[in-house]
Amino acid sequence: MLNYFDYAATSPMSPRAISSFVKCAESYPFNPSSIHKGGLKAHKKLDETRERTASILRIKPEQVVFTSGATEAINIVFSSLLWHKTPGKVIISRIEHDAVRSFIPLLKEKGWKVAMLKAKRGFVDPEDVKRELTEDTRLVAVMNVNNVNGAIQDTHKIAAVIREFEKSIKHKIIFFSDSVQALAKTGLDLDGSGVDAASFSAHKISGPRGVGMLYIRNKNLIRPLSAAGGQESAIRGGTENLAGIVSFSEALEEAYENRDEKEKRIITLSERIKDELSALGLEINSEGLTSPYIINVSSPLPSEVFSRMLDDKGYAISSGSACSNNAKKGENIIEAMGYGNRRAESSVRISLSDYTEEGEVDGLINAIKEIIHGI
Amino acid sequence: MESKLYLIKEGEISLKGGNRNLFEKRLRHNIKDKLKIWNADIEKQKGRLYLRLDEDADDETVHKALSSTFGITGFARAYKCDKDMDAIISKVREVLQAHPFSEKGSFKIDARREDKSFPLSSYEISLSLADVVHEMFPELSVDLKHPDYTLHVEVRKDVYIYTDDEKGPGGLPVQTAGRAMLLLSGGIDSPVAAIRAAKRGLKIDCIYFHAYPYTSDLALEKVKKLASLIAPYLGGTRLYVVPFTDGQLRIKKLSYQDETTLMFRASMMQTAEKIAKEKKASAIVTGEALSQVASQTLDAMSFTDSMTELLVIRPLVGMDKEEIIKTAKEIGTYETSILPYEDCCVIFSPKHPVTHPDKEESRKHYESLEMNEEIEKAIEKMDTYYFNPLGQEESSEG
Repeated sequence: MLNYFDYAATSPMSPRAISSFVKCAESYPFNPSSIHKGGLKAHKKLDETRERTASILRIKPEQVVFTSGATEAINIVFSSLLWHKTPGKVIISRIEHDAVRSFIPLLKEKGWKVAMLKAKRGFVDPEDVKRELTEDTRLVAVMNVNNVNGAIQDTHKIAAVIREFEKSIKHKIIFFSDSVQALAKTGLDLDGSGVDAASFSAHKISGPRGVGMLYIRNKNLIRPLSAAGGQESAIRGGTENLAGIVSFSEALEEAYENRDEKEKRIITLSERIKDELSALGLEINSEGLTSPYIINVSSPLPSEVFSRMLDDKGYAISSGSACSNNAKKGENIIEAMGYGNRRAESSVRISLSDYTEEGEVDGLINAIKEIIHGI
Repeated sequence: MESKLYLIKEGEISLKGGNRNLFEKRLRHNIKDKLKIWNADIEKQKGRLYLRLDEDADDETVHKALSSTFGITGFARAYKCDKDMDAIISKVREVLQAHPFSEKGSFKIDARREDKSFPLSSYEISLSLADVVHEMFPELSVDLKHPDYTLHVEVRKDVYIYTDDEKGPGGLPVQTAGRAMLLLSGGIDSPVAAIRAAKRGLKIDCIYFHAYPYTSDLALEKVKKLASLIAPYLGGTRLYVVPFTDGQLRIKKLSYQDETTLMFRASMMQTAEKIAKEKKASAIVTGEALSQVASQTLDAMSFTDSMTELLVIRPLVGMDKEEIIKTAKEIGTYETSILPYEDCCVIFSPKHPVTHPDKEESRKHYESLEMNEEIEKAIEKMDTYYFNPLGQEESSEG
């Protein structure tokens, strides 16, 4: 047993993903842009993989842009704003991943207005989005499933609010939703939700690192900073990582097999963890509609100390913040969710995957019991 | 084999009276110990030390070594030649080719004839060497008062030639003032305190209190790095790592909440005293500056001092944080000190620590904690690391 509870950070590649990676690297050692037979063969494989990926996600192949990861997908969307001759406004939730929040200084520097949406317990109120929408708004970014506590947003409602507002102005507003933690898990409905663009990462679903995807409803919405060699419909230039893309697609297919059964099992494990830890006096910071794959709790110990103690017992979890007397750099996400400073500084994240075994969960709960009883 | 020669100037030592010999001997020992890998040998001539090293000695390492050796006020790479004016001129050409002056500016020849049997006077030596410099750097002018460059020629038993000398750190050779134990944390202050104390001749070893898992092993790595950075100034140093988790937990459990920091400091003093006595050190050095934090008030310091009969030295007591930071940057510890690995976990730091403890009351409180057993246990499990005078970690002989 791995005793690994940090799947939201990264996940080991599945044997199927590894073997498809190797097979593709061996069989397609060509550049898909080359016009010789090898290149054409590789291009065909890429097209097939795009179709396969789109079909799994129930979207159109032309809406799939393969990237080097979620961060690059986010970068393409946000940097495209800089083409606008006059700066406008962006609306961003306070609980976005750093990959999104780190664009704020640049946008502000370029004269953009940035409105931050509060997200109590991790949930953005669509009414708040409505209040912030203005004529010069160009983009709204609210993540699908929060990576810290698993909160699942009502992207349908948020999209509806934006679409309604759009009727009163002359341009489209991009609704971007970072969906890394939603992929192959609860809460993802790209076509139905009305999201315009979304970012994904392969290594969170037992695929390879260095591969990701940008979903884009309509390619005209985005103009990348550079088209480079024109690959991926000129949205993401650069020679395609074919083996990585094929392996990603394989991992995706695998993750979607028996989806409901898998999720049911994880819900049971997740509920058990919450109940047992709650009974031990830990505070649960994943409340309401949250992903069963992510559980955030606060212990009586600083995050770092608690996770170090668990690590010494052989269990890997994630600590949100450091054991520090000093002021933190930036805002702690749990604090931004309104849980208060003390709770934020002692919060840790336990994240599961379809590979998590019941025995591992038993062990984790026992290890936490030992720690709590020892203090 | 040819050797590399360095001229070293001693400062305050030369003012010492009867003990001068002792100080000089210690300085020579400290330099030789630091540079023994290149077979350092030292010859003394009238207020000057001549350090001879193997030819392959690395200039940068030697430079670092000498500029961190207390007792040295200046040093320069020097060249020796025969006592003959033609030989001097040809050596000067060689030296100026190796260490060229810039094309612009002014220069001066500083010639000294200690050996009066040499046929040319200092003035005459200067004149003929000035011609050489003029010929090599025609744009340079002579300025005897504020020259940009100086070429030194000293005619002694042999002739020594060197260009501008580097500043040494001054102070007194370490170990001429005895031994002390430093309470080293991961912060900015204590490394600076170590260097201040060592500058007056103290031989310093360090003690660090580690509270794993409440503090991370990265915090320990950081402290080891700090010890390695200050080791050259200390002429090598031992780092004693005291595992104090159980002690801290006992204090947290049994003491008044506002007194936990105070009680912890008291137990650190007691522990340091025990280690100091075992290692034959007669003082404890801390990085405290008056009124910097709650535990650094007069009352708090007076209380912690009462926990040991050893002398407690606080070299930073009158320094501002900015001055401390400036020194930390100079000695190269600042960047490491500000790494975000805390040496004390928040759970051991009370929100409102007592600032003006009643000495007697607090003593009673401390005694009621009965820390002796925890302290003994911690010292027994203590790890020792040794950093040599070049700052490299060596396996410790304890």
